[in-house]
Amino acid sequence: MSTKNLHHKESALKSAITIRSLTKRYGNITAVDDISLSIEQGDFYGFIGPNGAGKTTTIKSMLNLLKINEGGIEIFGENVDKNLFQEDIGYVPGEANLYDNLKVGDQIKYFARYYPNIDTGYLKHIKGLFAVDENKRIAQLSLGNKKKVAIICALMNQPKLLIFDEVSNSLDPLMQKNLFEELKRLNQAGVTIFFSSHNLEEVQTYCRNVAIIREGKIIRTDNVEKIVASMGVRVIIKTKQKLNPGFFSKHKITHHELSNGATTFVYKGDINELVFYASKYKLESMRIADVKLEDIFGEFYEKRKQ
Amino acid sequence: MKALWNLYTFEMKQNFRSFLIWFGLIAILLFLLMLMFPTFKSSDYLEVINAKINAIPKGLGTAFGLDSSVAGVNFQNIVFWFGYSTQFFVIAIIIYAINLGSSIVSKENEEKHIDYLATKPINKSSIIFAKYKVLVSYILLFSVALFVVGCISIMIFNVDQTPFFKEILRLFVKVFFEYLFFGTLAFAIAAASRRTTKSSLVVVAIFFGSYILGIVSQLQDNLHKLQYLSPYIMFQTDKAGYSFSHTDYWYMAVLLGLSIAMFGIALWRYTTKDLSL
Repeated sequence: MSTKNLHHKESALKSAITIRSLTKRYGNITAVDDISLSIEQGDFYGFIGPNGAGKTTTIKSMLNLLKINEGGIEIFGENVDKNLFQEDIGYVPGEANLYDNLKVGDQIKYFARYYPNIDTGYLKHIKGLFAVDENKRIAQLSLGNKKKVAIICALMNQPKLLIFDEVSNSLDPLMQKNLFEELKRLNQAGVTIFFSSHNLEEVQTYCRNVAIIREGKIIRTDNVEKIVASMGVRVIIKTKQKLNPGFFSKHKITHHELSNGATTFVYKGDINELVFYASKYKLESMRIADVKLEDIFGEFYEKRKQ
Repeated sequence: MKALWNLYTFEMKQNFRSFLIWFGLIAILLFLLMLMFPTFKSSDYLEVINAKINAIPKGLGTAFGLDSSVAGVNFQNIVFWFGYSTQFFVIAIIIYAINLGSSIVSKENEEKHIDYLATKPINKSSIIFAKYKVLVSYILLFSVALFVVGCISIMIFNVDQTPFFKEILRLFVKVFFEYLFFGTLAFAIAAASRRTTKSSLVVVAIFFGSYILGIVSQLQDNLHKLQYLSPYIMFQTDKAGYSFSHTDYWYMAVLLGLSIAMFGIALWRYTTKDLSL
């Protein structure tokens, strides 16, 4: 095997992002506490957690915008301290703080000049996809439109790694669809996508792997399908009778009574036992569906409250 | 290199309007003050003016560039008049330099553009270098453009054909180092601190503090050495007619050295601190 091929193979094996024992403190507050993650090249990776869990701090540390206290971060095998990763990445921060006094077209041109080779055909394609008026000033744009400009600026260099922090916030449903279709297409072409989100449905629909962060610690990382499968099924029972709480306590189920008389819960036990239990009641309806990431997230969140 | 140039030209454009406003106002005011020179030139006023200058207490005279003990206080001399008029603008330009030095770094952080900029293919030292280059360019541009306006206005009113070019050039060279020093101080504080918003206020306070120390140094002989803490007093513009002294050279070298050292600190801190909040 030639040296060139060896290098290629070695590079192909590299993770897109490697985080080792990352700790970031702000004074006495530990925002991120000894977290480790490895995101393979070509992955579509979701990063979820409640507000203040440490998602943005982790992302900004990954981008060398924050100086970490302990641990190490590598992007495509290079320590982020070396600042060698920028040509290979595209980043959309949570807040679309672009230069208010610039026209959209000038803003895009300004950022494009940082890259040695911008494919004007692709730039034209994404400009069309997100349909922004290039003659308007950034200050005149709505939050959603600013976000669209930020997305164009992140995609323009056709990066190998895309990092998004709450990217779909403030985008209308049509634009969300356009964005995720484009991301799906890019991911199929080998682009690694890492994005934090509050929209768990979005994560479940598009991501292969997910990390859940709470209070600065990673509490679970796994394949989305595996997590969902391991979590059982989501059950909604509607009956006028009061359900016997013994069943819930036996299976350690956290259940929620809905306003219309329905009760919803996540069930992990034997399905026959569930059906037997339900058969004792005069049911108006019973629905069994795949569990949603939202339920898993809810469960982790409940555990924290307990 | 391309990224550095891109940021440099971008920042030059971003700060051009503010430069035009500051420069335009100062140039117009300077020209208007020069317009008053023929009135002072008239011998009818000379005795009245000299009597009034002699009556001013020493400290107050120093503060306003009217120290009667300094030879050459002569409102009939266009070079003295120009130097006297310029002192007020020097304060304004120092404040401009402080404001630019501070805002060119802090604005990027306050408005959170840094999240975008620092993730483009440009390293942090290039960011800080490009921004400092903009600060020095505008200070230089301000000095050169005002020098040209000054020379033109002197030429218009210089009926005696008093030699002025070297004198005015010396004056502008000296104050350039003052602008550079205070601008760099504001730049360094903004680049080094985590919360950057108040750096210009801090440096304006340092400037006026040093200004007051300079005046105090002129009032009492035993406090004379305090003048070295006041670039403004060390380079009083009403002394434009004088050649560079040994102290002037030494003091310019110190201001330049301090500016370089402060830039070094800014570079080191900027590349090692949290850029984003």
